[in-house]
Amino acid sequence: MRIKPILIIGSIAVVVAAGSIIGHRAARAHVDYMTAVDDHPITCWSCHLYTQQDNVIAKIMHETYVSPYNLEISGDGKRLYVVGQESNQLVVVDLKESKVVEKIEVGERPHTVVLSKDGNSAYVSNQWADNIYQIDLATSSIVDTLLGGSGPAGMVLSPEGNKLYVVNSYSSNISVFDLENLQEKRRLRAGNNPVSIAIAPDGSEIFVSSRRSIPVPHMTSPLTEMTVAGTQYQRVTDRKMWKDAYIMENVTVTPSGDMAISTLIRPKNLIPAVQIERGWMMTHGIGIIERKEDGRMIQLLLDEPNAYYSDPFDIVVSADGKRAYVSHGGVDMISVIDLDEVRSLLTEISDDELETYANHLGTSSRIVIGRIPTGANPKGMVLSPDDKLLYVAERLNDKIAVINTGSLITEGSIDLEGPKRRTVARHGRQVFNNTGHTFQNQYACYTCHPDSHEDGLVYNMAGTDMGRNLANVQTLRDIGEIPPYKWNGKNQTIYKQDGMRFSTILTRTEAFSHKELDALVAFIETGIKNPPNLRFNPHGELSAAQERGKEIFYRDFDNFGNEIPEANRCYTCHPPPYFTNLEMTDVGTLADSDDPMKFDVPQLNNVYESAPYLHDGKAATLEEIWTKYNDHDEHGVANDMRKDQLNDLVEYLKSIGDADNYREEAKVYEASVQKKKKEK
Amino acid sequence: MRKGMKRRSKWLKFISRAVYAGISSVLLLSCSNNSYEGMVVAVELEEIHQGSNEGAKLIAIDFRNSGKPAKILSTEFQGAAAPALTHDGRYLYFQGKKEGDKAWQIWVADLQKKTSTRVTELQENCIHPAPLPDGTVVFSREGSVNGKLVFDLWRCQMDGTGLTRLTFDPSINQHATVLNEGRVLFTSSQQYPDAKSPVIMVMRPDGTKSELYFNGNSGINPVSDGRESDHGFIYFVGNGGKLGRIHHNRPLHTFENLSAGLKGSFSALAPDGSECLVSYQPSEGIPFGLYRFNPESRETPTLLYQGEYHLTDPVLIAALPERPRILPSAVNPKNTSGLLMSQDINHSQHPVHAGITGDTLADRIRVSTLDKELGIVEVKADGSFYLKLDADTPFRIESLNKQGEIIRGPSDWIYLRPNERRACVGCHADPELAPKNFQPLAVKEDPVVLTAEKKENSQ
Repeated sequence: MRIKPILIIGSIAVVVAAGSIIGHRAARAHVDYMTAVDDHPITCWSCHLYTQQDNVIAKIMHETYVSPYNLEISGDGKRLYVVGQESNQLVVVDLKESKVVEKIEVGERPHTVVLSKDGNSAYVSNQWADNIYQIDLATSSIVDTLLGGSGPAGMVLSPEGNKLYVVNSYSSNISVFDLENLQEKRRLRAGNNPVSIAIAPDGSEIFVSSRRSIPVPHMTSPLTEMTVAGTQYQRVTDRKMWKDAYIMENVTVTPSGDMAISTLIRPKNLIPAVQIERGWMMTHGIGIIERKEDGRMIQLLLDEPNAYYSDPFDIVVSADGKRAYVSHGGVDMISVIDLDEVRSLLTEISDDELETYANHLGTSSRIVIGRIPTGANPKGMVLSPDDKLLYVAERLNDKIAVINTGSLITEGSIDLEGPKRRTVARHGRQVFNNTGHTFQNQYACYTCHPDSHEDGLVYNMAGTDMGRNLANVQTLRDIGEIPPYKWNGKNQTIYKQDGMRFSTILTRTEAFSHKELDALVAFIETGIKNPPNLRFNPHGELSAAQERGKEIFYRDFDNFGNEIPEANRCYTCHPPPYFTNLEMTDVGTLADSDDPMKFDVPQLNNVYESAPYLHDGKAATLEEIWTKYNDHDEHGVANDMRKDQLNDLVEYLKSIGDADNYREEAKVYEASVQKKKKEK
Repeated sequence: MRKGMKRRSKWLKFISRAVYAGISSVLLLSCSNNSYEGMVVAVELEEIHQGSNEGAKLIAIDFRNSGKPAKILSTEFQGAAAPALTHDGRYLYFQGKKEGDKAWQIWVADLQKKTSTRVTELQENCIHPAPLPDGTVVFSREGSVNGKLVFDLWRCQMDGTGLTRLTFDPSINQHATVLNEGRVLFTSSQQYPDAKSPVIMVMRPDGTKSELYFNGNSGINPVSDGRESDHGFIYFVGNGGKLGRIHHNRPLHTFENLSAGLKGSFSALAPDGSECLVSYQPSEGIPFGLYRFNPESRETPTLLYQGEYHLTDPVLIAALPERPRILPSAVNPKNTSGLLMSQDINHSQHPVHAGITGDTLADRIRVSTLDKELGIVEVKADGSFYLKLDADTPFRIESLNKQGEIIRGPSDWIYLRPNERRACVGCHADPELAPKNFQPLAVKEDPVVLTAEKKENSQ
């Protein structure tokens, strides 16, 4: 009688034990596969909770932070106006109380705030909404909306206060607004992905810095434009080309007007990436334009031989013109530059020495007089009217650091009242933006993936031999659902992509801890959205040309009535919603310098902003994919197309936006494929 | 019966282990303290001679308890020196010898268990251990190249397994320490073909990317290990008992002679916060004692402990605030070669040799090992070259003009670890110069192969 229950309990125990062992083994095998290592803890929540999107769990797991980006101070020094990039707010801070007094809702992904001359209004550029809000600061209400180009970012007011210059980061131009009637009066072409603008103290010139290089021949060094425009006639007067530099995040002009100074990065993408030591991958510094007749363009590094100050972002100059402050988003640091020493140095540098100085890691010890640590990811800065305090937006800390410019010590911190807990994805975002996991802090994930996108460069990662397997940097936006990763598709998960080999080949220092890797993966899989494609598809309706292009994209027959083999149709490899079939394929683009391999079909969402194209970046434009690199119709049948048809196809491709816009189209597409299969 | 035999055998094993432990664990047993935390271990010796530690003893001093005499820790050793603590403060490595005619070996003491064990068991002298954060230890092992005494850096696990050689140049490489960033710092003085003054070198813990860190051009040559402080300074003792420091961020140009204006001489130091614990001798005739020195005020060091004999190599027993980084290894033992690329051999801060009658630009290079010429290789139009060479084999490069004259070189000895891929801006280019951003012509082709295997195949 007693034996039966013992047997039952024993059997259950055996089954449970066996199940546990089998389950544990299965879980171990699964985690090993996903992470490509055998020591990652089996923590189911790493992948199955932290990476959730758009559901109840996601709402619990994630938070919306303020993420202060740029800021402005009132003329009396009493209030600070802070752009909350993530919360879509303009945060008003009472500086006497060091407290937030108001949060004004603004448009999507605000970028910059400027105050009107009388201080009664604020203008906020909403980068993802393609507009600028005029805000009445007395009532904290939006009173008007200015419409200009696409991706409004940096802004500056004319000294008279009657004109507002706005940099359009996506349409790569500058809008000039008349503030009396809030109308755009002129639009000037700028460099590639311009972001920042400064005006000379006398108001005679504006300077616009760009992030991306202008198109250059394949495997040549980047050339990034600083657009100079005269304000009298509102015309571009010069296009200063910064050789070997890019990501010029911000620009300023000294109070005396003798120099225009921009932050910049000098990448080493063309050299085989065999080491980091001695500035072999990235260097960071400033670019100076001497504003005088025959004035030169000089680049000086802020790095040191064994310490790098990556991702320089903002630059502000003291009222006496003697000091400049540069924020470094990657190393949580402010560099303090002695501008008189810079001026002295410029008198010593001959024209022949310019390139040497641009690469010299010892210069900073002469011109940098201080380094001030900050909270996570310092971005925009502003000086108090008396120059005694420097306010720094700590983007990934939701705080404003208050630095005493006399002692160069952080005196305090203003809490912007964001969420108090740090989510896993937020931690991942901090890891992504911080250089602490690269040898000597030379670069962060962010450096080659600004705004989590890509920097438009082709790198020689020298994974095997030097000079082989060139790789065009790929975007990280919305990639969670489209494995595999890397052009050669060797990484089945982001865990593998950013794991141990990443540390051996790329960052060359200690690998991410398991916790950091979990966080990084959570951020990449959940926190990187595509900006709305307002430039080429502003209303969700295709133009006539785009409609024609779409027909070509989905065509089964060429211009001569021949059926296109299934493998050579655009949509076969690029089906919605991500416009990738997640397969490896050969489209005849393998170069002599490549090892034999197939390529992971890339997604096409927001493809318009990912030039250059193909795995090695040899196609400068979408057109070139077919006009130069598709002789044998291996990359889709296209040689039958007329020029106007190719134009239409390209117009359609440029219209493709975020995958969420194509979920329904994907169902229709899938049904049509099934129907075709049945018909056959 | 069998059970009884098994038990007896177990007991015998236990006893034999205990005997072994008794022999090998005498170190530290005489110290009654449960914890060494906060104490200072130093080397006591009657006479200080550079490079000799015969008769040296390890002693422990508790500054918190001034009335307490120093304890000798190495009572069973003929000599014990060069103490070096692991980052967690638990293990103390040192070089020791039990018999005078035997070679120095590396030992390690477990400060918690108060036992010590031998790490190396080699014929040659093994000195100057430097524990790495991954649990391995780097040390110098005596060798010989063409009749010249050299010391190479080696690395092994705490139990002596996994012995791997890291340096291959004919030099005395010693005084290794690990930097917070994870690389290994050491002094190096070339011995063949001619002897050169010591410099400080830095390399990754797998022996790759070995390069100059501090060259002693400021009139001081390092004779001790470089010790990194929390503030990024590297302190070291130079010739003539001088105390110097450089900053890690820019080591080649930040040298400061901290002993300028001070009487007496230094023999060793240990950074302790913003100050240093130093082994200092205020004047001849007084033994080196342990002093505290403020490198900012640079006032005469204040005495902490004076013994009957010289005291040197102080080590403060405390865990580091942060573990040094563990760097990934690029070495692949299956690959017997490495790759070397130079952007422009003509880019140099050194002038061409005097007396050159032909071109002053190089159009080829000659690569030679210790005993043979590997070959002459034409450089590309942009001055670049790209070579595949046998790993772990030292070589030097000379640049030649069209007329065959040697215009620069030979270079210092270089070696590549298996699978190492290495690059440089030029030939003796300014070490603070980052490379220009261009794809060298040489890497558009396969590397020129100068390996022994290639040579054999071509014969």
